[in-house]
Formats: sequence, C-alpha cells, structure tokens
Amino acid sequence: MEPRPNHAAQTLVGLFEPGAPLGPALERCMALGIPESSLRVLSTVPLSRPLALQTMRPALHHWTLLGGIIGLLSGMALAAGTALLYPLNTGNFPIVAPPVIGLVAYESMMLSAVFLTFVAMAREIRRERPAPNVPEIDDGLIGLSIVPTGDSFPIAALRSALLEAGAMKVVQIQT
Amino acid sequence: MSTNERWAQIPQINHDLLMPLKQTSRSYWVIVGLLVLATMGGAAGWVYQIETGIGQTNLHKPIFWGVYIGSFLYWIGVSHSGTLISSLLRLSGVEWRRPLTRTAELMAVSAVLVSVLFIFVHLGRPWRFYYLIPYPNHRMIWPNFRSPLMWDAGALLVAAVVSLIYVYLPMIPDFALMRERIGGWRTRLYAGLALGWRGSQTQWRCLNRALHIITPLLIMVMVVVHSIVGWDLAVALVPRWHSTIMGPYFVIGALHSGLGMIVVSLFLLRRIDHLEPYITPDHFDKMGKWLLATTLLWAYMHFAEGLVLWYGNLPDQWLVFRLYLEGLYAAPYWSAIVLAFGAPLLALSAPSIRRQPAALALVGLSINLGIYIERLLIVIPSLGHPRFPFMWSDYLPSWIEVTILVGALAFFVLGYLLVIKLVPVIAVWEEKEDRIYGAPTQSRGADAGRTV
Repeated sequence: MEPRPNHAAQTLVGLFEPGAPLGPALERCMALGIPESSLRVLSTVPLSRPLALQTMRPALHHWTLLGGIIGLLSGMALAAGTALLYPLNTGNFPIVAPPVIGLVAYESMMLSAVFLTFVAMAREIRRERPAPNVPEIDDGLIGLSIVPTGDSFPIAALRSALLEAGAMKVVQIQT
Repeated sequence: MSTNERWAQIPQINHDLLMPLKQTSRSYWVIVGLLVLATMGGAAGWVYQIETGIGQTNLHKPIFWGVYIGSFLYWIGVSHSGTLISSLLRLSGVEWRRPLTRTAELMAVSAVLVSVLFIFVHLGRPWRFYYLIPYPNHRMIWPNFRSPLMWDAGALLVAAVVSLIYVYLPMIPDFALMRERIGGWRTRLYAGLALGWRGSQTQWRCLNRALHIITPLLIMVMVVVHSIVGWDLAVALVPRWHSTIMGPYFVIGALHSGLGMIVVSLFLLRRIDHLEPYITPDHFDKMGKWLLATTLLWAYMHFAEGLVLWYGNLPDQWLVFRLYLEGLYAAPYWSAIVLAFGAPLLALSAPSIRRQPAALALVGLSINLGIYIERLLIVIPSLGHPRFPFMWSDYLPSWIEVTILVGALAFFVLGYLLVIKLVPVIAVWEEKEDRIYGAPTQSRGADAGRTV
C-alpha cells in the first residue's frame, strides 16, 4: 500500500524549461522512494508530449450516458405521465402523442447528459489534491510537484536530484 | 521558432489579456453609466406596463404577438447561434477560432438573458410564470406538453443551462490564473470558480475530455432548440407560418445574425481592450467568409419559401407574402433584404473589405438590423391577416414597447461590458496553446511570427 500524502508538510516543485525532458527527473524521484501518486506535472497549457507518469483517465462518458438515460426516461415520464394523469382532448390528437414525448424527452436527455458530464468533470477536477501555486508555471515553466508522503521526506536528496535532472530551480512551498 | 521561443511569449499573453481586467478607462464608466440609465428607463417602462396593464402596448386582436415576441425570436437566435458557432469552431478544430470562441459564448449567455426577459415582459402578469413549471399544486393544473409553448419553455431552459456550462468550462483555467494575478474582492470569487485548478495533467485531461464530449452534444442541442422556436410558429395554421421550412430557416437566420453580432463584438473589444495583436484582420477575413456563406444560405431559404408560396398560389398564404413584396410591409421587407442580403453580399465578396475590421463590423450591424426587421415581419403581418378578412388589422409598437426594447438592448450591451471586466474576452490558455502548438502562418496570417 502506498504511503499517504502528508498535506501539512512542505511541497517541492522543480521548475523546468518547456522543452526539457521530464523523464529523468521522474525516474530519479521514484528511485528515491517517492510513489507515482505523489508526483504531478503542472503546466499552463495541456502538454502534448507523452509523460512517463500515469495520469488518470476520467470516465466522463459513462456519466454522459447515465445522464442521457436518466433525462430520456424522466422526459418521457413527464410528457406521457402528465398527459395520462391530466388528459386533455385537443383536436384529433392522441392523449399520449409520440412526437411530443420525443421532443420533450430529447430536451431533457440532452440537458441531463450535459449537466451530469459537467458535474462529473467538476468532481474529478476538485478531487486532485491541493498543489502549490508557483507563478513561474503560469508564465510558461513546467512544474514537477512532489507532495511529501509519510514521515520521511528526503528534501535535500530530492532537491539535488531535480537539479541534476535539469530543473532550473526548485522551490519549497507550504501547502 | 523554437519550442522555448514559443513558450517565451506566455508572460506577454498573460499581461495583455489580463490587463483589461485590471485597468478601466474613464470612457468605459461613462458608457456604463449611460447604459445603466437606458436600462433603468426600460425597467421603468416595464414597471409602468405592469402597473397599468398590458393595454399600454398596441397589442390587440388579432395581433397578440408584437415586438416583444419578435424581439424574443431575434435575441434567442443570437444566443443559440453564439453557442452553436463556438461549438462548431471548436469541434472542427480550426486554430483561428481561439480569440473568437469566448466572445461568442459570452454573447450567447447575455442574449439568452435578454430573450427570457422578453417572455416575462410579454406575459403581462409576469408573476404567473409558474404556470409553466410542472409541480404538484392545489389546483391540479399541469402544463400541457402538447402545447409548442411548453416545448419552447423547455428549449429555453436547456439552452440557458448548457450555454452557461459551455461558457464556464473553458474559463476554469483562466479563473485559476486570475485567482493568482488579480487582487481585491475578485480573488475569492475566482478562487471559488476555479474549482481548485492547478494545471495538473489529470485536470487538463478532465477538462479536454469534458469539452470533447459536450461540444458535439451542444451542436445537436442548439440546432434542435432553435428549430423548436421555429416550430412554435410552424405548427400553427397561420398563413406563412405553417411551413416545414421554418425550423431550418430559423437556424440559418440565427447563425447569420449571430456571426454578424460576433464580428461587431470583436471589432469593439479589439478597440476597447487593445487586442489588435490577437484579433487580426485575418480573423475578420475568415469570419467574413462564414458570413458570406450564411448570407447566401439565408437568401436561399427565403427564395425557396417564396417560390413555393408563389407557385402554390394559395390565397391566404400568398396574400401575406404579397404584403411583403408590394403592400403595407414592402418598405421594411425590402430593407431587410438589402440589409441582410444585398449589402453583405456585395461587401463580403471583396477580400479587401473582409480584411477591414470596421467595414466588417458595419456589415455585421447591417445583417443584425436586417434580421431583426425580418423577425418582426415573420410575426406581425401573419397575425394581422388571418383567413377572415374582417379581422385584418395593423400594428405599430407603442412608446412603452419602444422604451422597453431600447432598455433591453442597453441591458444586453451593459451585461456584456460588465462581464468583460470579470473575465478575459479571449481564453488565455487557449491563446497560449495556439501560440505554442499552433501553426503561426495559418492562424495569424499577416501577423505571423509577430511578438506580442
């Protein structure tokens, strides 16, 4: 079982040039006993290159599908149920009119699918552990953040490992 | 340009795009003050109408839908098209979309507020709006979903919610940036809206995945919900309304006016916020080509409808159409044709005009004026000329209606101006992404390689 991150402690962030490879830094950190779950690559835009670090694959489409089904069924229930519970004769139309149910169900299906996708995304984004803010990352440097785990956190060794792996500088921030 | 050189542009982009949020000129506040006055004038007109009754309008039998519903049709079109255009550009992955999408999305949200406002104004007794909401009540009254007005209420709700979500999603990274860079009372607001964003690759993946899923859904939503607005009219057995062309005709008209409105907004924002290095003549050229396409499509729809009416020669249908061509409504009708078709076609066919932001903004204004007139002409002549000639009637808006129309326009511009002091009008991270990964020669044309 991986050690739990210690949020109260300080976090190290190695700052790299945008073109610098991050692989060596990640390997050195892991060699020092830092679990992969404590390492995060921070950037001001999504990085296009593959990283030697597993990122979570958000299964948002499941929520979209679920939202769509819930919306479809509730839309059908609302339109058909209302017509059955409060039948109104209008012209020559059936009480339960399929085109009407289709329209209302389509509207609620789309609304629910989009809304649930958004909620799932917001939840996933918020689930990320708090990370330090380093202004240089907003200005274009790539940050490799290391959240301390357990009681032992080899700060000095990590700092020198990051610098040896090409970090421009390493900052230590209270999270 | 090397990788590091591309990334080196980022501090300047942060500075340029956040600057309008930090600095506000005196003229901005003067304009806001004037718009507040105009909005309050409109609100006063509405209060007067509520106090004294809907009889203050010139609505009368058989014209129960006048400028309020005409304006609703126009504004909801602008709103739907804002989201539709943004999602079409995003889905097709065109790089030049980046400075435009936020403008379109903000326009969609502001316009949907104004369109909903017109529904409430038109209700006359706005406190009775809850009749539209299905909930158990002691009178056992439930909405009749077979009424197209209920479809429309649903469409409005769906459009408003998904437009808000769509404008919010790409703003999350920008809120995080503003949380760190903009001080004062807004810091806490941005911190809440940023959802704890730090820019980790998992968060980027989540955001991009959500955008990939939601964008095509939005296209499907916007086409259908705006068609529903058209079907509101088409399902009624009213001369000229009862046509299968109404759904697509409304969608094309909305796209036409929405693109025009985006061009006007881009021109103004470019001037106000000094965004010339970001919104270039190349962007206007590309928008001009889209506008040319919608100009031709709109004219095609119009001609297709007119040809069938003329050839079918059904007396009640043709009567209404003749009123446009040579009767009572000929002046506004031909004005709409010139404003939304003739003038744009001539102007947009010339590449040199398409690359002039001011000229394109004028074309955008012309199109919007034309489409607004056309939306009024869809509503009023048909209602005023039902099948029984003894019911025929005409309509001109009263001063109260005009006051509310002006107030609503001021409310739209005011909302837009206030929002652009809270969020950057260009998505900062998308612009950075374009500068880093995009192809400069394609996305920025004449300004390729320019340091900003």
